[in-house]
Amino acid sequence: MKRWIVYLLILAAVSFEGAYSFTGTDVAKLAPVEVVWLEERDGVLYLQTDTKDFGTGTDVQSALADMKASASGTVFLDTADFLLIKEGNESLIEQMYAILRPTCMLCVAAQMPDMEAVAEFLTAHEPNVTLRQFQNGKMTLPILQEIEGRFTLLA
Amino acid sequence: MEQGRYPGKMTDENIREIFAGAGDFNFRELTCGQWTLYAYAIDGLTSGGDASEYVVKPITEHLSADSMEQLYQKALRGMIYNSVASACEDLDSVALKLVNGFCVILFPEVGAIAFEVKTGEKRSISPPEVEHTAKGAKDAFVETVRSNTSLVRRHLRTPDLKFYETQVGKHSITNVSVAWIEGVTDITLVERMKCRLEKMDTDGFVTPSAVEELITGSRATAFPLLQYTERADRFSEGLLAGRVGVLVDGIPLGYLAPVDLGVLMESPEDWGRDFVSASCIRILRYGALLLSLLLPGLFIAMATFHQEMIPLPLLRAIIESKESVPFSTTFEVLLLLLAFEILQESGVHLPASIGQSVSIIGGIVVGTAAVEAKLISPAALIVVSVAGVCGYVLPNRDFADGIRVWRFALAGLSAIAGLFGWTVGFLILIIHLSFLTSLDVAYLSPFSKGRSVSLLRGIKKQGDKK
Repeated sequence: MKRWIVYLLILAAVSFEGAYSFTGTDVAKLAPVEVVWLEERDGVLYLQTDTKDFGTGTDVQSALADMKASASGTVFLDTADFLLIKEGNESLIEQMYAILRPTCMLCVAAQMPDMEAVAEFLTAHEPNVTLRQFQNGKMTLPILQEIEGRFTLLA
Repeated sequence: MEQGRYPGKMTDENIREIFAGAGDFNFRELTCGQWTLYAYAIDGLTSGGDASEYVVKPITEHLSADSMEQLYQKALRGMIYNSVASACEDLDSVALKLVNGFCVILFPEVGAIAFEVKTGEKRSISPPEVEHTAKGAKDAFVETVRSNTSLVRRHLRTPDLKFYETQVGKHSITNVSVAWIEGVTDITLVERMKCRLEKMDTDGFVTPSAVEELITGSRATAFPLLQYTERADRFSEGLLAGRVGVLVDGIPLGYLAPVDLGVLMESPEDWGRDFVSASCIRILRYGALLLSLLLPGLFIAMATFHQEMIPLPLLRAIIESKESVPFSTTFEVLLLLLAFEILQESGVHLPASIGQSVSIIGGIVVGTAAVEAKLISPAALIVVSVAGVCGYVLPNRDFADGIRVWRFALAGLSAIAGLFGWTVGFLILIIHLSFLTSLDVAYLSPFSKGRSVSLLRGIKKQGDKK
């Protein structure tokens, strides 16, 4: 009787494994992103990360697909802590709701800064608006200014 | 010894027939006045000097009577000055006494008497080798069951300490003592243990694994259902806690039942410390248990399926450490776990001095070389090492071995299905443990309602133990 239970459990496990295929990605293949830059120029959307991967497209999904296709590793956006938007492109943020974590912090900038340097700066001086807060109606985003290579965050 | 194994009358021919071909079997005819008696002993088990002085000499010099019956009665009632003289009823009892170091004198047509003349050759009582403590007693069990019962008696001088003695094993005829304290131990536990020993049908009862498996029943589990100890004070402490003890001739260990998870996490050192620090260390031990069991699986799950759970600086450090490593995290961890087990096993089978060198060479030299050669990542090495070292914190080796098996299982399930598999594995383990019983006492009983608080509190003050 006990043997039958074991067989049934094995069968259930195999069926479950078949139904929900667990496919993982080894950590070594990941390119973990900390900062994402998003802007739109002439109807083309540009997406760039601090891992030096970038993609273009008509919307965020196609830009992301483009970025993933050309990246050297697996672009891993679940670690992104900061989303930088070009001034005037705030309307694109809502397309990032399903892509980035709700705790990802937002700020706007006039032009794309040096992504590695800005990651260090933002880690030390975190913007006070998150993606979730923006989604809930907080529309005033901090502004990132770069003057002679130095960053300033204006609330 | 099973009853009726040697049927027939108690005659010289029959006794010699039992031991025919045994080179160590000694036989001698003794003349006692007009009567002829027969003396039997097994060389090595008996002391030749004692047999001559306390059996043969009184028989030949002082024993005389008109009939064999009178001779027998005189010998039994003290004419032969020996502290232990027991009448043998049949051939089975003659054989049993002989293999237990007695000298048997046959009075033809009347009976036989066994005189105790055991040799004094046995290992002396020495300090414990595995369960050593800074403050505790330094007397450990030896291979002779009678020495072990005396050790327990010295720790517990109460007349309520009882020993039930029996023989187990068709061929080994091993002396086994069941120990308990009357009025403290639940008598149903004692009866269950006696019943299991009586029902045992085995050829030999000579190795620890045979003892453990036969007493607990062949259960499909990697976890121990008996607690063993080489320390007489720990064994006595177990008896005082209302448990049943088993001492087996030839095995320098005492077994205690029932056993539960809480008992297996106790170290003899706990009873030498104040209860505050001992409780803190026990909590630390539970932490080590969880780390040893869960860490490799958790690392595989997080590094393969749930990278978002790893903080970014740590994730980056792990990724950097894996740069140029050709293997996946799963393969790395499983391979290292396997290598760790092989190293451990090689150390066990070598003499202590060489075993230490193997551990150093294997752990430090090969490990460091493998990291430098980019064959494995430092992160995986650290995870497996931490899990391995935490396993050594567990005081009971059998329990730690069970954890080693399940560590592999959880790592495998994590490799297949990430945290889902890890959680399923952990739940299966808890269900498995909850179904285990030792002498019908639940393995997880310390965690049952109302008892978990006292478990977390760890050791109560000595005065509160009852």
